[in-house]
Amino acid sequence: MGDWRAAGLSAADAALCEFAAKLTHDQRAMSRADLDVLRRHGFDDGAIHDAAQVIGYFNYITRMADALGIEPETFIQPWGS
Amino acid sequence: MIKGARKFPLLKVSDCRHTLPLTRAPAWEWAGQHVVSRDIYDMNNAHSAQGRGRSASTVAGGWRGIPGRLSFGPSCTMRTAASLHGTGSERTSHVSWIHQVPVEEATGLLKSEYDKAIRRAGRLWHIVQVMSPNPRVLKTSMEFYGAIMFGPSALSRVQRELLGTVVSSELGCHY
Repeated sequence: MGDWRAAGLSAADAALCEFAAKLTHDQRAMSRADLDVLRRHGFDDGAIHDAAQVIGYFNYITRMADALGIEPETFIQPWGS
Repeated sequence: MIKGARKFPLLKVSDCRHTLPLTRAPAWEWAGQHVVSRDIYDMNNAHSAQGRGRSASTVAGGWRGIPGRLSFGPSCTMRTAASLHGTGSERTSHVSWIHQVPVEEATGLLKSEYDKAIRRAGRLWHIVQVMSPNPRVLKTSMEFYGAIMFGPSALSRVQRELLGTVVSSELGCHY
């Protein structure tokens, strides 16, 4: 994974995505420094809060889907097919 | 620039089946469809200071369609909803490993939540139906989703969809 790294995002949005990836994979390693990175890209505390909420929500909802074996809707095709 | 980026999403999320080409479905209709296209991304950034997209983010867009300059017409939603409505048997077939209440058997709070979901998205997504064992939790979960993804925020809609797409991608969510 990591297509977003090559997607030509703005530096600020790439930093958001990096934050999301780290929080998703390695939450125990989070530190104030991670927030400082976001602040340097112009995100204030409100934005950082909302980012954490969104990231947390998707960690939650994907786990719901995986835990309960939710079948994808039949009309949806995987990318590349 | 990824291949076919104008037609297909900015973020290719090959393991998450719920990312749809924008040509097939509205981008923000429901949790399953977290796609940010190159067009939308560039459009949003072009119109916002510092590429932050704040102006679009703070418009209360509701659940359908995209606020502000991020325009997907309701016709797209309607057409998609109609074509995706499926059959009765599809709605009652198993959609997960646990039992969920079929639409026709829902009453009270659950019925109200089902009705809202269908009005909103044109169909009952499996992720909604799977929460039917606990309607109050379903309601709260949907409200949280609406607030964090569609409500006023310091993050733009595109930025929030980016985050959702990245997380789903990183986790390799099969749904």
